[in-house]
Amino acid sequence: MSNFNFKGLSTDFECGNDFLVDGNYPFYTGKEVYTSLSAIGGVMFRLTNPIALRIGVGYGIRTTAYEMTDGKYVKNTDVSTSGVEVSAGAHYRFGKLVVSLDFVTTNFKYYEAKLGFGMGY
Amino acid sequence: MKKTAFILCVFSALMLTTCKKMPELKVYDLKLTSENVAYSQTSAEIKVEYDYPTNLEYVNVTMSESNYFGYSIVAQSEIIDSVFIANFVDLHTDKKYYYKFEYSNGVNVVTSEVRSFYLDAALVTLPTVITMEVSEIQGTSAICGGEIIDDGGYYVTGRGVCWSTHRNPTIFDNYTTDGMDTGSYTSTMTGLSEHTVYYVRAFAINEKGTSYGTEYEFETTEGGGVVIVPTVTTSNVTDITSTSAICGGVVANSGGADVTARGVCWSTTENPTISDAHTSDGTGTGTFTSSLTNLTPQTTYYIRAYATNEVGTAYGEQKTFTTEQDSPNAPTGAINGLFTINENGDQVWFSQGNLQYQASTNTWRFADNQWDYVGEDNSNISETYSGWIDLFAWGTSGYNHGANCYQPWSTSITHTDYFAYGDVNYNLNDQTGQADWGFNPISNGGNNSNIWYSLSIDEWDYLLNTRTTISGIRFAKAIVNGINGVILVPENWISSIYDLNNPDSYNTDFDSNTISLSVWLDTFEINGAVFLSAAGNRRYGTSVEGVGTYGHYWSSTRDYSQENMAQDFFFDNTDLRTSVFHRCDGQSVRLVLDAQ
Repeated sequence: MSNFNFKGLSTDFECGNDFLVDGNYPFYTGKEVYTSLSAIGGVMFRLTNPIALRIGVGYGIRTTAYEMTDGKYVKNTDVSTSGVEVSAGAHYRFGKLVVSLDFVTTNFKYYEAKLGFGMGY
Repeated sequence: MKKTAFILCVFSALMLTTCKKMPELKVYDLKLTSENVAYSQTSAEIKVEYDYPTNLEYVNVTMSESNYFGYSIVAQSEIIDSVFIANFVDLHTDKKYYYKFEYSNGVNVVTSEVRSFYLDAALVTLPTVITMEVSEIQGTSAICGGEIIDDGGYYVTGRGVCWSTHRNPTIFDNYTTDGMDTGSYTSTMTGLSEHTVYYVRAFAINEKGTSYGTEYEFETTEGGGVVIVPTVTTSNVTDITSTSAICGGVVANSGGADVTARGVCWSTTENPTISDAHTSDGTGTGTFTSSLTNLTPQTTYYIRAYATNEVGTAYGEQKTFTTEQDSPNAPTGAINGLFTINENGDQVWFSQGNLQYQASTNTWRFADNQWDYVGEDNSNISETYSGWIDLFAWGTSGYNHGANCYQPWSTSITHTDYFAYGDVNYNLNDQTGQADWGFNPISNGGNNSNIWYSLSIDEWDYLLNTRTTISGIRFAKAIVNGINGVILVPENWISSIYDLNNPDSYNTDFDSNTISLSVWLDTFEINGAVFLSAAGNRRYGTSVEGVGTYGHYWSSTRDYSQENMAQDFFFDNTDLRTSVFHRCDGQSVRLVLDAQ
């Protein structure tokens, strides 16, 4: 299952957590696709070198969909959402190496934690 | 602390874990649990059972002589529950056919792997049927048919034609039923719409499945088209008695013109026509019922339904029946209708009227008519009275059987005077039956001693509440020739003789049925019906009450709980039941005679 889809996801049908489309159970392949897209702006507080806290607000889209045998997708509207996205987290610098941990919610309906690694100059 | 603004953009990045539990997708494969191909010499039926959690919207079956499906035919299956059935026609023996399924659940479509079967002439199990060409096409009807040339080794249990406005009609569309077994048959398609294209094909069914013939297309005309004689079928003959029977028919097709007459005709020779005895049962198409009357007992008749329009008269298939043996003729003084009075099947005739007595001549007789009653003149009762009386205290047969009061003119109001045989425990028909009025010779009832008798209360009860008649009716309240009373219908009464209102209703009014004298004589009495009039009763010696309002008819049975009472049959405008009444009171007596 791929978690990356930079083009976004086009779906043809919608279902809920029962996976039924208009009362019918589609022929699924078993492939499940998750995509998310968000843009966040905020502030960062340096507590002490090398630790800093950060908080931000923005807009996010998250989609879960299932592939059918004909290659089309069914979007699960019970676990897909879009709207206000809030992020709070911290990062730690080891020399040029930066490790970050953020907690993100979209529409206060969908929550996730993100662990990041990067280089700082 | 140093504040630094930041911008974070995330694209499709689930970096660690989600905090919300995601539902687990279930994938169901459509499973075919059984798959069967049956074929005739020219057709095949593919029947498949499947397992899937929701309904399939359609299943198309594609068939070809090539596994590349270059030239193919597609049949849409009939889906019933978890089974789909597809039929193909115009196939040939000793060829291999390839087929595949295309399932749709209403969202997306899946195509199965290719299958095949070899149409082996030696392994045919379905009937082989040929569709006849469509003829006599009119605005709302057409004629077709089929011929079953091979039953596939199994008896053909159904055949006909099926039609629809779409191609490949099946028996799930419109269809006719035209008998069973092999051979040719003609089918009439009715209820068609004018100026409409239809597709029709013959079908035949045996235990292995259904096969179809070649499909024909036709278009109904706009308006009447060619007018032909109607199409009519003869119903089965039922309710056969010695002199009557029920039949009827179905006019399935008017022939394109108004059906102006219909009914059944019958004769003792074959192929009866409307020149023979016949009924007239209305006009138009549809089902009708016919009553045959005045038949001769123990005689074989031939009967056909008929229908007439401007072109001519058409007849249904001929049927035959034999009337029953005639009932034994009722003896003098009896109504010629049989009534069952117990579970043993014993039957009786009723006397022609209520029992009457003339003291001055010591003469017993039955009233001339069933509705006759003496009424108020019963108050003149005496040993020397020269008029007729018809209300008697219980057990006053005139024979000295041991009771203090045994004379028919007795008016004592002391109930102990009316113990049959002088004993509280006896019924009228105990001992040798002398306490029953029927012990006497009845002047117009054969004039022999001890042939008539009174019904016991159990026999009255069985007569009114239990016995089975052909019509399903036992009694009805009525006004006959202006007199209130109750009609008892005999065992062989058929409802079509007269449609009685509120039959077997205990609390209905007398005016439920008002029957004239002529209708009574010509329709009821001639067919054995009995009428019990509301003759009232005599109480406290000579006081006559309830004349024309209610009826009390003695049974031969004493009351087992009250020594002053005997049991009777009672009715009025709101009630009808077995009852008990004082032995000393005068009530009507209606005698019966065992049928031989």
